[in-house]
Amino acid sequence: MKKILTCLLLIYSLVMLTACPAKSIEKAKSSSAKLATYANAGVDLTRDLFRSNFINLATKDKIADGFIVLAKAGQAFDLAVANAEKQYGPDVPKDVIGQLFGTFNAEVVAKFVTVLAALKLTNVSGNFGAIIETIKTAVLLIAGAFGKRSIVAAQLA
Amino acid sequence: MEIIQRLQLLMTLIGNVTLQDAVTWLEVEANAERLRKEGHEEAPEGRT
Repeated sequence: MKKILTCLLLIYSLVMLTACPAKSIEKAKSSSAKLATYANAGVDLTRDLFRSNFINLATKDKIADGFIVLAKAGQAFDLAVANAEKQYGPDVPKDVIGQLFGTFNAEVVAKFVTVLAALKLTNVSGNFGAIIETIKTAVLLIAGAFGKRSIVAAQLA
Repeated sequence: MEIIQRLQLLMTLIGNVTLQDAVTWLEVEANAERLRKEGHEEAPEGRT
């Protein structure tokens, strides 16, 4: 009886172990989609700041360029995730997932931090400031899911 | 009443977690490209 229970426990552990990478790939896709949504809100916010004369044309252009670079990095990340899924199916190896998360932090999150830092320099208050803070908090939360919250927070301080 | 409010709060929280309003990076790029062009038009018309 004890052996049967041990076997069942082992099978359960193996199932959980193989299920984990699929869950992580879903997490990667979900985090990317969330970040894209916040980035889009950031683009809309920049447009509002420009139209309200809080930022000049040159600053608006610089921030827009940052968002374009960020969006391209996001697309590259989504493509890498899709390719990994195509190559390995639902059981993407852990080291491949680790590489994907590394790319996500180095490319997508880091680029978003750069754009947010530029937005923070605009020193706006009121509704605009609140939106920037909300986006910042959201990016920190997503970065926190990858264990990078403290590094990102330091960059945004 | 309190239970209903709590349920509404829970629904709001769940609503925030789902990605119904999520956009793609392609849409972000298109939006950013439009923003980049803004203010560089010959005639400043069509600002919405």
